[in-house]
Amino acid sequence: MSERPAAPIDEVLADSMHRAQVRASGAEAQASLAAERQQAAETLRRISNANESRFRAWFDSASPGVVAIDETGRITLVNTSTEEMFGYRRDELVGQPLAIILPERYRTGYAEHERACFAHPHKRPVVEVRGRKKDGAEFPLEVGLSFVEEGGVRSALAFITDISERSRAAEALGEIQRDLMTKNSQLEGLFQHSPVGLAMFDAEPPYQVLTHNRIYQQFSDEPFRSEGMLGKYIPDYMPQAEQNGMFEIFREVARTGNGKTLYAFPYEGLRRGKTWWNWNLSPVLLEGKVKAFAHMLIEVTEEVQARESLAATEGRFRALLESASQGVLAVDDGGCITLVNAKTEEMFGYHRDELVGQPLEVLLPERFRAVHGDYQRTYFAHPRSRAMGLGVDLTGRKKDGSEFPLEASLSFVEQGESRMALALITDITERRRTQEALRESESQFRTLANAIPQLCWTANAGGLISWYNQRWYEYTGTTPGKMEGWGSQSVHDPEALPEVLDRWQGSMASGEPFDMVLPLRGADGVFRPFLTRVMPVRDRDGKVAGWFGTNTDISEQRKTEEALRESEERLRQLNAELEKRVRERTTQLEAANKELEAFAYSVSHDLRAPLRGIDGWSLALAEDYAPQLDERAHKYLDRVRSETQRMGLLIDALLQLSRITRSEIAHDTVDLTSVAQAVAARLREAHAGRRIEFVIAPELTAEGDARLLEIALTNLLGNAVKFTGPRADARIEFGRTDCDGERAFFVRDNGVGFEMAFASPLFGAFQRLHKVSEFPGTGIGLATVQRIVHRHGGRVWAEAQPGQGAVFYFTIGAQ
Amino acid sequence: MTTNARIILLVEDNPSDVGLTERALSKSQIANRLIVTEDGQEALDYLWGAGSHAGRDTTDLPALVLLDLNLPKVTGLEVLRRIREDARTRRLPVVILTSSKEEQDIAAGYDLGVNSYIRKPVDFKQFAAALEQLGLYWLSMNEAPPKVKDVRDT
Repeated sequence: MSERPAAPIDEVLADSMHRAQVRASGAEAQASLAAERQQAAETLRRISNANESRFRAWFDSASPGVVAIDETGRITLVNTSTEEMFGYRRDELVGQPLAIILPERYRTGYAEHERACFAHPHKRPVVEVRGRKKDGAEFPLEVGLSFVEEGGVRSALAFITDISERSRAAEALGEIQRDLMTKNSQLEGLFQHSPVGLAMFDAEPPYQVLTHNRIYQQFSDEPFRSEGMLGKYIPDYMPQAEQNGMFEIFREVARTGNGKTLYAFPYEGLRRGKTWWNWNLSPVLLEGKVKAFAHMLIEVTEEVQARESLAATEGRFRALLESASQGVLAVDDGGCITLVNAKTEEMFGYHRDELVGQPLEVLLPERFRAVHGDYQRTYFAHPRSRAMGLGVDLTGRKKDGSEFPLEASLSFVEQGESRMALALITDITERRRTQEALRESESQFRTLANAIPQLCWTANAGGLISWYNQRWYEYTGTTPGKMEGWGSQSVHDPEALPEVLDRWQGSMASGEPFDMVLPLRGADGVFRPFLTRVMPVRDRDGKVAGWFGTNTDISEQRKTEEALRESEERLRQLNAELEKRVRERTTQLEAANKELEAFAYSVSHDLRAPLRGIDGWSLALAEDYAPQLDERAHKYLDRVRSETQRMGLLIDALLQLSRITRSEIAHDTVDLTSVAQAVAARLREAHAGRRIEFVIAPELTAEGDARLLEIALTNLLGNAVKFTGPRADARIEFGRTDCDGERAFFVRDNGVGFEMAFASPLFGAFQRLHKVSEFPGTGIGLATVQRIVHRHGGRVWAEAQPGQGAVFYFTIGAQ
Repeated sequence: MTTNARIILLVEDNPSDVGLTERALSKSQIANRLIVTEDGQEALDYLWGAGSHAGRDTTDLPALVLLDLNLPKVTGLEVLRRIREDARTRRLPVVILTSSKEEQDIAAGYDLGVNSYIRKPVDFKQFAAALEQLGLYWLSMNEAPPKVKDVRDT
């Protein structure tokens, strides 16, 4: 630096310095700075020969610090700026290595840099380093090195700029940037982690999602994914959106351009089911058109559910209150009614509007009102819960003035400032009545229990007898004292007792009635059998609450039963004997019947054959020897023949009689009127020469055998015809009449009649009351009638008087 | 063959009745020859050409059989049953002529295929009248059944 730059150095330097300064304060174009500085140095060298003082002045006044160093790195020149910058005087610096103005930690590195620079002297980029002031303080600086070679001597100029200010600004800017980034990420965090669901999407269907946050995902049917829903469309994520009416709102907002806020909007998604949201959908306008939607959501599901459950709870409470079977009544500490339920209204006959706000005393009879007021004041002074009506008769007064017994329990409720008493009221009219009825029924029961001849008692559920009737003590001769506890066992037969106890335990275990005959000792020491019945008495739940027992003395009954058994046995034996006899008789009868049949058969064959011979050969005699026989002989032969024929008739009659006995009997309804008419017609024909009046009652019927009844009527009517023979005006009547309450058929005639004295054998076989010559006949007819009537379960009898006619009565079965 | 030539077979064990029957028939101008067999077995022997009647021309059947019921050896009803069982005599007119009018006999007779059932009255005049009508009916009014071929050859 021995050479000084020539004029016009001032302008050149000023220009150069200015440019350097400008460069130094800018952030860019540092690369060209070194070149320019080198140019400045060149200029400086050229003007070194110029006015030294002027240079100095300029040099010193140069704003950047300028330090010239020689090839060894020692400072040769320092300007004022440098002095000021570092706090050294220039004499303190000149001759020192440049490193003196650097912090020690940079000095080694700098020395190498400097050496390298001198070894390869060319433009060096400006470097930012730290400067060290004399007082040790450090500050940022920028150093640009320019090399000068003059006359083989190389030196360098270092231009030093204090960049503390610039650094501070840059730092401030960085700060701002960092701050911005922080804020941005905070905002992003806020956006993402906002408890409010936020999203933006395209205003055109299908509503492409532009952005959204994590919570918004809660609204969709897709689980959260870090890549989110971006670029997707609403229907992809919320297939239920249309169903839930979302798009309708979208369309509305798109149409009107006005945002829409909805509260507790229900959304039923596939993933979470029904949820509720407070909604805000705002349009994002661009050039007056809705381009996008900003959607803000807050989930209120829990609140809605809680509100609903609260409403339900409250509804339930209200319903409970209203449906309570007890009257509920709240009274404030002023004694006024504040709440009344339906039961209370019903109980007292007031509408709630008439009660709320009224003093409670309105529900009491006047005579109790004053006392109750005192009582109420005391209660609010010393509130506690209690059941009223225990031992105290409380009386309520209805609107119509009638009174009723009630029971009330009280609870004290304190809620913030308000104090109230809650009363539960029960109308105990019915209970009173029941108690009364119970007392009465109990008294009736005791009276009845003491009146009956049975012994009776009641026991508790455990079988311990607690009460006996009077009759028990009378029979057993015991006293209530002796019967205490298990005292009743003393009147049992010790032999029977184990079984009695065993079965009694069994009944108590099963709850089944106990039924047993057991001996009980009387006051006289004699055991008598007692039919013992014990019934369980059950409470409303069907649980055995106790037992009711009776003991009935059955010793008399036993005796009677014994006697009955004996007599039954005797009767049975008699019956058996009788049956045996009947069997024997039946056998005999059957044998007799068979004999009779055989007899009848042989009669019909064997007895009739000879008769035919007698008759035939008598006739042969009469015919073949007619001339030899005189008139008397012929007459005798006629007699032989007529007697023979009569015998034939008798045999036939007998056969008929026996057949009636043997034949089966039919049971039909027989029209007796018709039968009698038919018989009468035949008789009239047979006796054509006679005048006979038949009077036959109409509509006579009987249950029986038509053939046999016809035979009977033929015999009776035939007899009547026969015995009216002598009368010119024969009158024969057939009818029905009452005989001592018995309905009997009768055949009445006005014939010759007969003497009742001879009537007894009338119905026997071959019994006749008249001479054959007078009235011919076999004497079998009435026997046949009687047999037929008997076979019909009836009877036959006659009434007659000689010359006055006769009446024959007969009954058929039980008529 | 004339009606007169035909035989009446009387199955009757009581000689008195046989006499009376012969007398009644003759009084009724019935000229048919009367063959009398005194028990049931003999009657069957006669009809089938067996026993004491062996060799008899069995195709020459009687015009009428008068059958009593109460017979020794084989009863009348049994004779009737066998007559009806045998193809040769199945169509033979048989009239039961008996004292019995027991229902059981009448029923049994008809059940076994008897052609008529006559009860012999005690009064001979009535008996004669009955036989006269019987003869008139069966021997002249009634068309006799066709002869039965000897079924033993078929």
